[in-house]
Amino acid sequence: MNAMRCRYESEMIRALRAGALSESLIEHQKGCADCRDAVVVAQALQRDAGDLAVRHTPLPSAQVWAAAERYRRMAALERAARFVFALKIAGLIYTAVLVLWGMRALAAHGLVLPGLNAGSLNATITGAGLAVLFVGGGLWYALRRDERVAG
Amino acid sequence: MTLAESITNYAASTSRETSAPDEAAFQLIYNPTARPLWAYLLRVSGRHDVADDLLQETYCRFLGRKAGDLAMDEAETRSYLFRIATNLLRDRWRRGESAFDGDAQEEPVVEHDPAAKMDVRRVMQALKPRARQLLWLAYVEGMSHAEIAEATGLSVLSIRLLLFRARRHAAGLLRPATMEAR
Repeated sequence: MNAMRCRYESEMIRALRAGALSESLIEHQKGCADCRDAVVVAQALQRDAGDLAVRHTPLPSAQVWAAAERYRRMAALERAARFVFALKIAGLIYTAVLVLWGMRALAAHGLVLPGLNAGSLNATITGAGLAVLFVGGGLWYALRRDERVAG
Repeated sequence: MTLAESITNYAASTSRETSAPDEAAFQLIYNPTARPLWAYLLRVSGRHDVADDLLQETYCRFLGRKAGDLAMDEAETRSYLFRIATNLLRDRWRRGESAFDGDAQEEPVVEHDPAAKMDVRRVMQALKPRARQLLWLAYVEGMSHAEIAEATGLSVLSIRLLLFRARRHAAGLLRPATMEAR
């Protein structure tokens, strides 16, 4: 199969788009199967395209503009949501590191809060667990809401 | 106003200032390009609803482009729009949404030349989506092989070969009808 392009093809297509074939191109076309195919296809498609352009009106530009504005706001919201999410994660990590560092520092200096015993330690751990649960639940809700707005 | 809203407003205003034309400028771009772009999307996808959706999305992407891409002349803008549309069509096929199927909204029948009209539709349906794209870009939009390669992401050599096959296939399908018409 010879898939090499005929050197007259571009000229032929340009002439067809302009609406007139020169004598030399008509002569060439008689002896060139590729150009004959190109002419058949180009004429049919160009006729069809012209027909579509006459019969159909695309969406009004104001509608497309409004959609583009919405798209832009959504994109901005997604960027903002990503930033807020990163802030929340950083806050969580910071809190966890701070708590660990504080506990380690207190233990290193042998500092124990007055009245700290097994019962109060259990209550403290339970409280911390509940706090983590509530904060985690709140975070999950906030992030989920952001996703819904962004999507 | 929440932090998220503030950041959103800021981000939206910043992007608007740096990259987006105003509505009047958009109209100047939209009016001469929308019809050919829509015709391309319709003939390649085979569906009115898809063509409308993708037309809208094409301009959304176009308006959301980076500030560095702003300086474009008319031909570059047109080429860029066709490139976006081509990518969007490819994304649809990758998601498994094939053209010419499902609850496709049929085009109204043309009254003045129904035979010619149906021929082109039938031929396009018989071709693979890639072949439809190449034929339309080459013979309706008059793009060179290099421009088509840029729009489709294929090499110029591939374009040459695929276009040759598509043209031969399409001409074979069109010719009997053309002969009959004569």
